[in-house]
Amino acid sequence: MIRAIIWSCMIGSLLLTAGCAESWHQGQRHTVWNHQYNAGYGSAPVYGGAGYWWNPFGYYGPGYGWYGGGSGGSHHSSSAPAPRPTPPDNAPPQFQKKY
Amino acid sequence: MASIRYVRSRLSVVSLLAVLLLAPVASEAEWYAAAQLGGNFADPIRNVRGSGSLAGLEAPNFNLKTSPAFGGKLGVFPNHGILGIELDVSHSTPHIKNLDDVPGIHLSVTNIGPSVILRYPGMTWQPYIGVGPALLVAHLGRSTTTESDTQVSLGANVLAGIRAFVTPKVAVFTEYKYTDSTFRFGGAFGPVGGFDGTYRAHQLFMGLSYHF
Repeated sequence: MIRAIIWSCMIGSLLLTAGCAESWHQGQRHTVWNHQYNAGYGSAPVYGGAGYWWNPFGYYGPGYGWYGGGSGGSHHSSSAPAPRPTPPDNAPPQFQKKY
Repeated sequence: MASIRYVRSRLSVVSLLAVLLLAPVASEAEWYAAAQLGGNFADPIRNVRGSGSLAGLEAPNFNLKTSPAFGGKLGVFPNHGILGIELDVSHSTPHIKNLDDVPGIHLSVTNIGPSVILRYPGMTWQPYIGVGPALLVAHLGRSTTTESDTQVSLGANVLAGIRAFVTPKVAVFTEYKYTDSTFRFGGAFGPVGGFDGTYRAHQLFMGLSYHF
């Protein structure tokens, strides 16, 4: 019984540590993204670094996938992206942020 | 004559299914109740789009804070078998972080999820996995930019864990749960409109269960 408790605590600690590490990577990834967006690098996601691989179910934004960027190329539209609508003056500040 | 035979065969199949499904529950079933405590590690709310009069507008991702999470479970394994169902309710507060100079917003999420559970029914160790729909009740707090708003959305839960019995009826467990849904706060900005966004969260729990 004592052995079972010890094993359970060990596995719990391991999983908790892994969870915290993922969360840190998540924050790190978005810090990098924000910097790149602010620098005007466009909306393409980052394909390198730890942040790209950690989340198997993750969504990597509008630039990723069969029709958007990736490495395929043949299905990517060559036309420029449609311009975003200009937010009205009474729009909340969240929608007036440049990204 | 043929139709009577058809109806009889159908009734037999239905009866057999009912007996197979319900009899074990009624006679030999392992019920359990659990309490759990852990953390909620939410991805940013992505694909943030305006709704109402804000339709067509997009906003940057809303980063969410890591928060504590707690909840409970009630489940049953018919005939002490490998397949069971459980109802899991958990609550967390992944507040929206400030967006540059735009202050953060209080957010609370209650996840109500019935799941189908598949386990290895070991004497001491019981690893398990589960999947099921999720009903997410999310409440957005009032802030300098938002109105108080509550929404209910459908989503999905996927979970995996391991349970260890410390007595014949009491077990400790640790569990990982992944949740995916779309929030639709239609009144977040009052009469102006609201926003939709993709919510994805990883939760890690430790808990204690009692098996009847």
